[in-house]
Amino acid sequence: MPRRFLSDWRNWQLAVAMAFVVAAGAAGAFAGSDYFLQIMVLAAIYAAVGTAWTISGGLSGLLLLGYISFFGLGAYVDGLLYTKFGVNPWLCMPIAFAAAGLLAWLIALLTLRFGLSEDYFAMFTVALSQVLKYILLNWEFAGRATGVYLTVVKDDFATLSFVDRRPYLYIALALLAIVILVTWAVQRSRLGYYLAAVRENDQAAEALGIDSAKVKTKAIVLSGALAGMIGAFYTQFATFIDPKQVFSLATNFEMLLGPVLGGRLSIVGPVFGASFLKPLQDLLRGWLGGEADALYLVLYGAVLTVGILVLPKGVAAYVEAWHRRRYGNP
Amino acid sequence: MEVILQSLALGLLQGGVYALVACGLTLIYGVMKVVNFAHAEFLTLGMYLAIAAWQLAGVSPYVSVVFIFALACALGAAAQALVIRPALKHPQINQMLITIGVSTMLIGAMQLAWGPNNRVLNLAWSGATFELGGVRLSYVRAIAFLAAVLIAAGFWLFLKHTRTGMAMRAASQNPVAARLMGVSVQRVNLITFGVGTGLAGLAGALIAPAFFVNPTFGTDYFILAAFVIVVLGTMGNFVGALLGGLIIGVAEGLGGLLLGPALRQMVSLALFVVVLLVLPRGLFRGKVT
Repeated sequence: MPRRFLSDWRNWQLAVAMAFVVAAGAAGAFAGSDYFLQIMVLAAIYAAVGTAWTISGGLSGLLLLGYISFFGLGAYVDGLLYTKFGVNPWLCMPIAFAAAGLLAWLIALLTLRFGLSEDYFAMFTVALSQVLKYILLNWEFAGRATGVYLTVVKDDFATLSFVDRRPYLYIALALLAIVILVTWAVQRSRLGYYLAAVRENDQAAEALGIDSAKVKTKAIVLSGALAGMIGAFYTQFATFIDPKQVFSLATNFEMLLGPVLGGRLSIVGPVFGASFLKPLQDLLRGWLGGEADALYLVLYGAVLTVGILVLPKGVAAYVEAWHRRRYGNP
Repeated sequence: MEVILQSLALGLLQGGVYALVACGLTLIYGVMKVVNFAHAEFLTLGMYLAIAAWQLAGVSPYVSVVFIFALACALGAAAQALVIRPALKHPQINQMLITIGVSTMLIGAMQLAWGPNNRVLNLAWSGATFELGGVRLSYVRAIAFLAAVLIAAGFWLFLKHTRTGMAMRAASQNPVAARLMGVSVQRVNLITFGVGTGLAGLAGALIAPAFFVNPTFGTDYFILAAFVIVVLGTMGNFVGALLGGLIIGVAEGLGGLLLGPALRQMVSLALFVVVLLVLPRGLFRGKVT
């Protein structure tokens, strides 16, 4: 690849992240056990969600703390449309994309109206994810606490169900590639520059004629919609979802750990962060025992706390500094 | 009618405890602008410690509450010094995730110490009730309510009339000006975080005889209500948190009656949305004092 293309930090990240996705796919082709494949698919899902989050939580500077609402909504859109109405899962993904985008738009409408303070916004999004959980826990049609089950009897590409885990990995990686491309495109677009302006100084951006509420709304809608699409895929992969699982606050924060420790404003940060941290979590959890995971919680909490204290800007900040030296950009 | 009164009274009693938990949260926010997601874990810890004191040493929760308050203060201050203070200049999302990390550690530690299953503190008169104006109330809850209201009122006087209290209010109104007036903001931060979490621990000890407790009790039943209360009462406003606590308690009591116990928690969350729509800056329109 030409040096000129790579000398742009965003392009360099795109190239590295895409190479990683391809390498992960190749590694998956040789992976022996289902357990290992399972971990890889989950890592790809977390990486995709984490990268999609950076569009709102990173680039726009919004404190979108309760991000799992969109993922969970997407998961339920797929679960209900597929099992109750027989809608094709491939069609469910764009529908979940639209539904989660709509939810994000409503949130933006409700919260950005008064230039709501960032902390209120953060707490509101967390509370909302729990509202959705309680609604689904009490909704007869959606199976209440039992949730939704999918039955997979044979490999069928048309209905996105496979007995083998391998096809799920390829689809998850394809989704991850889409999210990476979209994030890269946003960063390079006019919207990306607007977002940077709004993030760094809201009022100065407004003075230059940027409608900050509108720009933030675009970011949260795109970010939420992508998470909804990944949620729909998750249902097909997991074959079983319930409200406590897909609207879990613990999962929510696990999903944000990759981008925050990796680098909220980068592409490689969330991709590599999640790809490293999610398997680490799964292995730790498996090693320390499933039910009584108290020790895991202590360790995980400590890693989270210390990690964020030591790396407030994420690992990507250091990589970016190296990139700047390597390619001689000012 | 009687049922309504009964729900109203129960909601009010719960509201008093909410108020005590929320005023610690709002103080911490007011002074440091940190949303403490680990707040409810100190309540849970207070409950566990009260149970341990009762079962191991036979100490009544109404005695151990003093020590539990002190211990929760010390723990909160330690957490502030170790992980919150170094992050005060970092992005807000980092601060929030750090408090979430603290919360996770505390939940794990409590599960290690006391196991994942429900525990209960059975005083001889845990179930005893009395009648007041046609409403049946349990002693434990009534005591918790009275103590919560008294302590909150006492704390309000402390904020109004002592030097430390005034320093805390000054730091929450304008940290730069407070520093210029000779207030050690660092010390105030430490005290505020300590006392704030101490109040949560204290509330836990007070309600220990009335509830089952498990490691995620606080997260499951208190933190979201506490968030709604501080937003309703304007984040950082102490009196607002007290009023908000009572309002949310009553609203949950009546809502539970109307919608059934399963949807009780929906009430405070739905109120959150309504508050944001109608009073986005809380009852006090953004004023901290």
